[in-house]
Amino acid sequence: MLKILTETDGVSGNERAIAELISSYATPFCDECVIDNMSNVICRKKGKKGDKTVLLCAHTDEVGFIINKITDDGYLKFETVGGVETKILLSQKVRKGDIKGVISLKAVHLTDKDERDKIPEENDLYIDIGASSKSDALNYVEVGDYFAFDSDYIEQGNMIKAKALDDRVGCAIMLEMLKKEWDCNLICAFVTCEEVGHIGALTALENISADYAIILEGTTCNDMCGVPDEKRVTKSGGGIAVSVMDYGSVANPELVNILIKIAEENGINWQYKASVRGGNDARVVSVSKGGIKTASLSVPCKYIHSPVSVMNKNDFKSGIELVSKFLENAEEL
Amino acid sequence: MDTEMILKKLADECSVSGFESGMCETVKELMLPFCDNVKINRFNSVICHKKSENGNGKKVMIEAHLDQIGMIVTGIDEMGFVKFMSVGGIDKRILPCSEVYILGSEKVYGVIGSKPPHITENADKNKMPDIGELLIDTGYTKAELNEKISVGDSIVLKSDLVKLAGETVCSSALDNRAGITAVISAASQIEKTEYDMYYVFASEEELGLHGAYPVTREINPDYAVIVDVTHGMTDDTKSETGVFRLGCGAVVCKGPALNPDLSKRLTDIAKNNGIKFETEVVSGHSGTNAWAVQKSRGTCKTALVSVPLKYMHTAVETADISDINEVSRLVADAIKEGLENA
Repeated sequence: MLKILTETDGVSGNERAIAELISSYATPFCDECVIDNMSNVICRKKGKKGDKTVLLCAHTDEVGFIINKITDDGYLKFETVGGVETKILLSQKVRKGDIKGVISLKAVHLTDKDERDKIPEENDLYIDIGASSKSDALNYVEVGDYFAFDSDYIEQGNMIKAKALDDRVGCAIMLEMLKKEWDCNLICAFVTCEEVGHIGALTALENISADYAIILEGTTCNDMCGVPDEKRVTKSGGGIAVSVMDYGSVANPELVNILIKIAEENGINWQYKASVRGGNDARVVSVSKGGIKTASLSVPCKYIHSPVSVMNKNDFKSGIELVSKFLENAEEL
Repeated sequence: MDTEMILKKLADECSVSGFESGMCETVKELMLPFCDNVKINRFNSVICHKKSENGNGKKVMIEAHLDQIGMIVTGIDEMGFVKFMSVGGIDKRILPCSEVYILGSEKVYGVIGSKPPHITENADKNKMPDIGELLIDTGYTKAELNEKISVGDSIVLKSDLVKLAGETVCSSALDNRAGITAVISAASQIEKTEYDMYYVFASEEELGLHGAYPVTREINPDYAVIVDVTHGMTDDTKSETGVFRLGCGAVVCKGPALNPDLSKRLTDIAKNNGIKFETEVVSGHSGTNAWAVQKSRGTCKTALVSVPLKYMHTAVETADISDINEVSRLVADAIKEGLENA
């Protein structure tokens, strides 16, 4: 399932296809599954007892590109959508459906030393779809079209590499939770446009009330030699990561302690997210309505926001186990 | 013979300079129907001989280099990340977030990692990393990797052949799969000829034209036509000279290191036969095997014909199939109609 989720394109603002895919997986297991005007997918599942409501939230959008101009020679100028570093863009493949393109610059032989050391500027870059002119390019694309990274899902040993692990991994965990029956009520919100300002979540939250919320994410993992321990943020294979705070929110300490206790009691591999940089939908979820006790659980993803993000399968499994155990116990909290 | 089909077969093979043996076998298999015998010399160059019809023809060498740029394993660190250096002039700017295959006793997939935006310090933010700072992540531990790869194994950029708009294709190593394809296709168009033909695919061009020197001395040709790639015009080079729009046809090179009569003969044939072409000027070293051939045998009349290629030495080298076809037609017609002006 994670393969299909990551290989389906859904750049922020263009999530309809991924919303429909998620809805098709989720609907058989919910009491209600709605796609709203923002392409958020909200799934509701009544609990066997139903005194408590847990909201799980993950975003469906991924970083990518939007075309802002077509040159006379048929090249596509673009802006990045979400946080993409131009440092990684040379020699990359992108796609819009079946239309393939490449991002690169003039060959290295034609550069001088300064050009070779310089990180390219976004407005120097372009997507080449092989069009011979502007009118030829207009057969395939128009200004405002979205392109995603063209990257396939690969498994090797414990490693999974794919684009958009941030945050299709969160979506995958939520789809697993929908398959089972719980004592508590469950709301799964698959929200859009997180990467560009939590716009989807803000919309979705207007109609959601919950006692607890867990944001499920993919997060930074800088687990390489030469990176000081305190800058690794999370360790790959170190288990599901529990956040204490980030740029936008402070995790509810009571909920954090419950999650850690459940992990310890059940032998689930977990770690702290050792950085307060970055942010996710917790910043809007926690302050919605009268406030919801919110925490974030994240799967460590190396090379996040790139076409080659990498996670450890075991961290993914730990995430599924911890969220499951939490839902099992939520009614009694 | 279908150009795309040849390209796909070549794309399945890896031939980093010095590690060409697999590609030698693939090229041999593709060339056998069009020549009398094929041998692979001590330096991993492939030499395909087609005897002249009348037995005393002049020797003609049509050559395209067999190797591609790549990398080589230099070590495995404690966490299982693979250290490497480049083989041939790889563009270091493309390496962060590239996908590779390490060709050990197993083919191991890997990713060249880059620090994420959330973490990058402001000073690092302004610099492209050097090759020595990059590491390949395979997901394996050091112990697991030691079973599969070794220091000295070659590494290639992962890139499947992809079709873009029109007849444009994209892949790593179109330098020089495009040239090899043009030569194989030309050979398929030549049934009988007065010339003693040598279709040669030389090794280690990317390291300094190494394979071309010994093979030229071995064959001792009277004429040589080298088929390689040249720079395609991109959005950021549109006002420069020496770059060629994809779809412009075969690019014939002129300059002091090439024989002017043979270069003119090629452009005359192109004009007469309605083959699209452009002329490239190189005032010194062409950076191709033409230089090595001319240096090894001053008596050999040497020409250079190229396929325009965008983004050379990256994983997304881009060419137009129609240009490959024009090059192969030009070479084949030149052999059929003779390499001397009437």
